Amino acid sequence: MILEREQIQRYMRHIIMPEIGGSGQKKLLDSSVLVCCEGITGAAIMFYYLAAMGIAKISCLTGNADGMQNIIKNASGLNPDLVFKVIGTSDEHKFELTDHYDLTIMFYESSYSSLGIGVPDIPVIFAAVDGACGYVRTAEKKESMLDTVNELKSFYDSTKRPGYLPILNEAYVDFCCILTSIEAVKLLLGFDNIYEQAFQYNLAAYEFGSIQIGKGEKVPMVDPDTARESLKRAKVLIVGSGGLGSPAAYVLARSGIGKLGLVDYDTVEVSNLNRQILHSKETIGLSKVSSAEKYLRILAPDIEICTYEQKFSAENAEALISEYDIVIDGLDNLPNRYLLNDACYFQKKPFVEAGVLRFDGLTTTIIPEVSPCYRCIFPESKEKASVPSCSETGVLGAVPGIMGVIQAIEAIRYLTGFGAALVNKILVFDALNADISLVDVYRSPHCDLCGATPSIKSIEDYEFTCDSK
Amino acid sequence: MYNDIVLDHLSNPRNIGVMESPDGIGQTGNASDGDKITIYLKIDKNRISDIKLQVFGCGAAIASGSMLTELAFGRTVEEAMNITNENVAEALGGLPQQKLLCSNIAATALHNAINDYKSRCLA
Repeated sequence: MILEREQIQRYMRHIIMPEIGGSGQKKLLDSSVLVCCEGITGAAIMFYYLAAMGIAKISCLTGNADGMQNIIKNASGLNPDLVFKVIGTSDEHKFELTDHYDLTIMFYESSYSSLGIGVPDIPVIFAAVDGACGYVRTAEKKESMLDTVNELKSFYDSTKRPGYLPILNEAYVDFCCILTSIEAVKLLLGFDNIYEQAFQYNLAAYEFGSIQIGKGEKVPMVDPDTARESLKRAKVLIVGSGGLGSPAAYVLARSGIGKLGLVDYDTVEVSNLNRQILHSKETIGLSKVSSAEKYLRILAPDIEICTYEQKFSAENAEALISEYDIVIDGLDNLPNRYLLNDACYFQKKPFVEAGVLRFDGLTTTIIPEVSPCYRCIFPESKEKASVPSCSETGVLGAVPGIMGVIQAIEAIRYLTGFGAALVNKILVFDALNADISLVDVYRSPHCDLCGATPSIKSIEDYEFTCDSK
Repeated sequence: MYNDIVLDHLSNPRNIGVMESPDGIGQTGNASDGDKITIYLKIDKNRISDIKLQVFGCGAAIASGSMLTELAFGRTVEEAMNITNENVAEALGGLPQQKLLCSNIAATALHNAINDYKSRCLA
């Protein structure tokens, strides 16, 4: 067989997508990637998703290798085939990189000269973060390298930075890391639509594209200390500890929130490991919530974690969400989304909705009576149509990673009073076409739940029908 | 859930691709249902001399499509018309109960391709 039995099961969600297939997955497993970063902990989530998606040879050249043991352990837990080398740099040495790498990633967190190493071999992905702003560009030819370095200089020299919430710093770094991991996979697999021209974005304003960023100084409306206090008192419920729940919990746990609730009745399986970064080979067979709790207690020892190993249903929905301030939808099926939507509506709880499939993701923040509810945007179809899910159609591991991070960012913005921005807007992420855009959505007067004449007055159970299987 | 034969076929499906000037094209299913398959045939002296497959769907659908192309290759048009979904599932060493329906589209696509070929012959 082209891959080992266990590998086929691990990467099932990739292999069934014709764009990747067994051959593409094998290519990823045979690829070697060098990541140059200021500190290994800043880029941790990049290593996790690179490893999870199948890249089995990762080297890290870094100025600060603190925390490397834990990162290597977590990455290897997601990909048992991983060979992970960490090389520390120091200011005195100029390193000759003699190993051949299929791809080099240069990841900047503070300035364009922060990595202190010479020009690497092509192809190179340059990724940089500065507050809420980010930059990604892939150089496949030596000619574009000079251009890129100049762009990086002006990216960091931009004196006017729009205001943002410093508490979100790490989340913004995580977003750039995961976006870069997707770009890495696309490059290694020879996909079209890589960032040959620079892709710049401002995650605070949700502006994406090769735009001129840094225009206008906006002062954050919330004092950072007040924001931190608000978060310490906040309680977030994440329904589903899988592809979306994992990155959302990862970001929230590190942000300083007071309490995290995790709901999932499933157990960890090998096919989870291409994307569910809270789980590992060691926790296969454990309940997902226990596995997640184990991971999070090491990541954020001070946070209060409450696990609910239950199937989210009409019986427990109301009780589950009642004591939390905001809910994150990490569900893997459609009927339960309507249930969650309705339960949140009746309790007037905000929730951050997201969904992924193949190479696409979408997310929006739903605030009852303020924004459209899920049914306004996606009215329930009366036909018993079969809805393809990730297990049937596949999903690129880092796509729920991106969406989960945004969900967490939205929740943090809401909880700190900075304001969730994806209200009345859906953020649509299209990895194949390298496109991120926003779509305006409106409350529907015909909505069965929150329209002018609602027909739904209480939560009901929803039958999951799949007529062709 | 899947045995080794199915895992082999779904991770390394045979005869994947399109054909430039096929003698018959057969398609069934659609992406929104979750399974879609297209079969291209080259027929020479009443035998399938080449067969190509494009498949979109779950692991069982991919494996079924792949196995189907192996079963059909080199067969006469009549023999190919007699290949059934059960033949495909059997050749795969069996599929899980809930996945049996996924194998159905493979044989259908083949028969559609043969019918397409026949209608071109009449033209």
